[in-house]
Amino acid sequence: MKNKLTVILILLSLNVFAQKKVTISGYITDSKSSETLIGATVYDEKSKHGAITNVFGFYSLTLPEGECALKFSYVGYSQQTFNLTLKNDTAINVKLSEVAELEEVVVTAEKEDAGISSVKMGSLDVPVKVIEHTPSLLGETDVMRTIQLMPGVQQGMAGSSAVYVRGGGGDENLILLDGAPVYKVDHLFGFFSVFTPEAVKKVTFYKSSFPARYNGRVSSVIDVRTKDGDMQKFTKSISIGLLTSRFTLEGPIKKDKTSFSVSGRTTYLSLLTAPVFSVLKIDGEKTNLGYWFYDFNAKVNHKFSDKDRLYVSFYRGVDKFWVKDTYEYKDSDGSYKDKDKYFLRWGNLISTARWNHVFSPKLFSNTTLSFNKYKMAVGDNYDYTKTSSYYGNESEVYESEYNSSIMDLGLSDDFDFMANEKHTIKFGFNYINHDFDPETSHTKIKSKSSQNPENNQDTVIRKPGAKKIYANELSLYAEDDWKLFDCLHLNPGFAYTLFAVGKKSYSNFQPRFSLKYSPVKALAVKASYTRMSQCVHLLTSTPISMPTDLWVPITENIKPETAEQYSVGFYYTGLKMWELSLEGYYKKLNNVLEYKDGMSFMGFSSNWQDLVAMGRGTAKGIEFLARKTTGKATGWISYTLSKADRDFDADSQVNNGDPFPFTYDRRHNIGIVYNQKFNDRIDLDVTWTYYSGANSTVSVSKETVIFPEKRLGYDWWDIEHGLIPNNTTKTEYVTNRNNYRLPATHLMCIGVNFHKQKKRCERIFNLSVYNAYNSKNPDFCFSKVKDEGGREKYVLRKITILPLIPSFTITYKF
Amino acid sequence: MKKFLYIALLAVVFPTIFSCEHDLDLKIENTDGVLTMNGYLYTGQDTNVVFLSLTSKKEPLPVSTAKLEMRINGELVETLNSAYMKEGVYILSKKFNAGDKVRIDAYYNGQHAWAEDVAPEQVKDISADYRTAIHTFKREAYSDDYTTSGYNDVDISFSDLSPSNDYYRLNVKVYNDSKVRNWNRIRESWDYDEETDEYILKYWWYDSDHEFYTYEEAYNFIKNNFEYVIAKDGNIFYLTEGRRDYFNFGKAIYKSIKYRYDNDVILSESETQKTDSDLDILLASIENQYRVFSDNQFNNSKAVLHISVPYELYDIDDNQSKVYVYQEMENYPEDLLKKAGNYFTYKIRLELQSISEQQYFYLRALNAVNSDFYEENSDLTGAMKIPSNVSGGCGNISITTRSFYEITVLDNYHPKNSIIDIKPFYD
Repeated sequence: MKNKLTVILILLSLNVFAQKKVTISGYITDSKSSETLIGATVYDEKSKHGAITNVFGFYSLTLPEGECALKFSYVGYSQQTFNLTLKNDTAINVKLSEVAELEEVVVTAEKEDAGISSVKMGSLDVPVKVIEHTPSLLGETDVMRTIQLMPGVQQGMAGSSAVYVRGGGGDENLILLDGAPVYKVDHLFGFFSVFTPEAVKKVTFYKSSFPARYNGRVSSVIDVRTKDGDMQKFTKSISIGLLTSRFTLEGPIKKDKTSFSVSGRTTYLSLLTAPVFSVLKIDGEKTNLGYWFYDFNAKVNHKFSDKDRLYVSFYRGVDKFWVKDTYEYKDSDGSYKDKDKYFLRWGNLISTARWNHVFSPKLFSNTTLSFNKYKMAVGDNYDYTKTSSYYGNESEVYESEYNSSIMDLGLSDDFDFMANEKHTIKFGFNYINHDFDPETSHTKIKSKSSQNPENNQDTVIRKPGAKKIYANELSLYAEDDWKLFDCLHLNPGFAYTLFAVGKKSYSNFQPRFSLKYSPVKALAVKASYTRMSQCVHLLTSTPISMPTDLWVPITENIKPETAEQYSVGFYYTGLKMWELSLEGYYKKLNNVLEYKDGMSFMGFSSNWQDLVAMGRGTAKGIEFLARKTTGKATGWISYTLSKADRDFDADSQVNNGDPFPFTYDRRHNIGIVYNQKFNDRIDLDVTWTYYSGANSTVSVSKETVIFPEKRLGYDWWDIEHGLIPNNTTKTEYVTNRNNYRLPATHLMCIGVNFHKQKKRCERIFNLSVYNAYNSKNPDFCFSKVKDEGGREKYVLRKITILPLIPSFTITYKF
Repeated sequence: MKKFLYIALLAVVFPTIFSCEHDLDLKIENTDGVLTMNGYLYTGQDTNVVFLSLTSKKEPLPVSTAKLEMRINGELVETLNSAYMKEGVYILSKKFNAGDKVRIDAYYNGQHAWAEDVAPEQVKDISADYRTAIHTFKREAYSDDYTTSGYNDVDISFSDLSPSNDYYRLNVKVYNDSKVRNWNRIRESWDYDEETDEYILKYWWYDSDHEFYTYEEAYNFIKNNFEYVIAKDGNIFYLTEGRRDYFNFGKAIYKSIKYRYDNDVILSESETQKTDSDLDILLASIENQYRVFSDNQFNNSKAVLHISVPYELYDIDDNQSKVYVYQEMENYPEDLLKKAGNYFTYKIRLELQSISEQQYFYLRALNAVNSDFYEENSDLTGAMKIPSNVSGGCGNISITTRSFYEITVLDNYHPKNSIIDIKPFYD
């Protein structure tokens, strides 16, 4: 006891007799564009203290009064050093210049949330350059595809951009665009994400040890920040690819004060397919089928002063698929024409306004107002007209439309308080008003007949759908980045969430704790405990991402899903230009949802809660990552050994209460990314992935099922008259869910970039090959009965839909 | 949906035309020969049926030599050692009541499968109201063919059984007894006599064995042997067949009928769109074929269901009889029809079944299994595991408790002086 008191007194006396402290703060930006740099480092070589810029490029560092040697650095930028004598709190805004080649940066300070030297673990920065240099399907570089190459991340169906993180479901990832959650993150049934690489400034990916400000999903956070816009000059780029074309334009509205950035992407495949369909006739009907999507990002950023900045960003993305049939004929009596058009349209509208305010060199705040809407519509328009000299004229219009939408209005305030060199405290709140409108539909019938006017109709039928659901979600959080000793850093924190839906409200306290111990500079050992909760779920009937999949909030009977994750990791930066990490995790999911047996095809509606059961899930694994971030050759190698199961109670009606493997429980997962810059003109990007097979439910027998009386008019009378038992039939017999492990998948993608500096611009010609060695991967698998010489036999039919696919893209950067 | 996906892929990703298929050996445990028990048992019914079979690669094999035991509240009440009448069909003859726990055990070839269920309570306060209506529906998806038909819109109300989760099924049967006295009159015809080379007037009725050469002769014969009426014009009409009985143009039985529930929120649970909607191509559309529903939306309170029962005064499987009725009515003078009387009875029997949770999910799964949506997507999602409450085997044994409410929509059996109002008939 005496010793403890002595230690406390010494610590207190250190504060009492401490030297006067001053705080330097400011923004670190790119020298050319004035774009703020997220995660840049400022480090005082004398006091050995450092800080990192937050997501708005702001830093704050408290140092002893007197001389200091400040070094500002950022990966891919040249360092700047200033020798200063500090007497008072000082604002220092620094501009760093980009270097052509990634040089080694000695990481001397904590990174904020992500990276090897951060106290946080299970988090990775995904620089835009890395995204741009990850070869992908049809040359479409994609944020989500790059993340799929990280350890602990499983891909969904072949070619899709869905991610499954550490045994979690596809709806357990919080995907943020400038701080607003994105509900539908993909185009074309999951093949491409909605993020246009040109518009993206920074992506940070978290899979454990989540910062306290993130809430609402249990497995991962993908925080995507868009470019603010060049404050100095206008820049633009145009890319033309096989599937899409893209453009970006950014520049100053008022130099060093206001800038803008706009970017867009659209596909034009309908134009290419139109000639085919113009001559195509199916059953005498002229059929036209089309699809397009677009993304549009816009952002305006205004700097009122060094203390106040305003960002307003907007995103709109829409997909549309349609089928048009036309049939017509004419004869001497008259003419007949009918047109039928089915369409499926979906898209996000996201808008945020963010205000950064520096209250003092130590207190920074970001206030965000966000609006987010996802809407899906399915419709059928049918129109026919008939003219006949004998029968008279007839016309009919039939319109049917089904809509579903979700709308969020959010307000959040995040504070960064750099109390002193030992404590950086973050706190704030986040409020979201959810408005779920799961199903509305109407049908309009309008018909006219000159011969039978009594049959004329003009009717609108509104079908009863699921009721609108309003929900309110409030989160309060705080965390302290506490440098207890030079070698020991702690990060205790919590989040408290309150979710109110209908007459029910759920509160959830989520403690979070992480620890970093660095016995030597190049080595760090980290451990963390994280609890997360989730109050919305995605209902889906197929493994393909469908626009008809629907987000619904928890109900009075369905409790929030929670996850507790324990992680431990070792990180080593002693090898020049390499970062090595080894992480292990154990994740426990509670109230995880699965459809009850036989219920997965029910689509969605108001009573979805009856169709699902709450159970438990466990996931555990070891992840290795070796990453080379500088030099002419960069890239990484990742390996994951993992296992994920689900377990439900015996009365849950899920798999008879027997545990079963998670669908994407792939045992081994290897990802290799290799980027080689040969010279200023040519660089090469190669990825290779290997996934153990996922799990599927297959059947090799048939069982009897029995229909109730309706099916055959079955009654006791029928029994007596020998009319039974035609009310039985057969169906596939399944013993257990996910009872079969599918074959493994492996895939190589290669991209080569040819750069050429033109008079006015740089031209980049990208040639990519997806599935370079044409691996026959099991993109779809199912069991089938096959006749082999009169003997029927169950086989596994493997369908490869994505073989070797070459593509090219031309980009002009002005 | 899978077809739709293929179309999309084909259109959008040209190279997928090079996609390929391979068949691989399926190395998985053999699951043939698993004992399967199936049966819907009815509370208060004298006999109940259980089907036994074995899983098999091709067709499930009926089991007729199993030992079957029935226990009510733990007490063994019946043992059967073989199937009754048909292969795999076991008839149990012990009655049980609501609240009883019924257990069925089956033993076959070393396998022991058993299932248990509690007989649900009966709904006591079912009531209903109806009105005739005309509705227009599409005949089927992707078709431009609409039909306008007569319906009886029925509103059914009842109270939920308890504050806990309860499950129901609404089966509707139609009782249709359509009878018309088949009157005919003495007909005249001319026969050619080859010997005299003359035409002779003859009188007859439908039965060619009875021919008369004078009208009076025919008149007296009918008067003495058949029921007859004399019309205003003095003609005699007689009953041609069945004497004092009636022609029966419909089967006088209760028969389940497929009713519509388009405007009912409770019955259309989980059904995004009707399967006859064109939107079916893009939405998961699974018809609630077995009309099951939970108390999710009316827990511990009153439920009101809105259904439309097709107004058909003829047997749904026998369109001919309708045509015949029409012809008969059109052929007869109105006053004669009034006098003779035409007898139609049309009743709607509502059969509200309280069912167990396991039956509810079993039938919902069957809704999916029978759907086009499942057929098109099961390759993508994998096979569906059918819910089972059978331990040591598979299948479903569950109990239903029925309550009935009968609506007499039309009953012209006795008012002989009225003619049938043909307005309810719609084409």
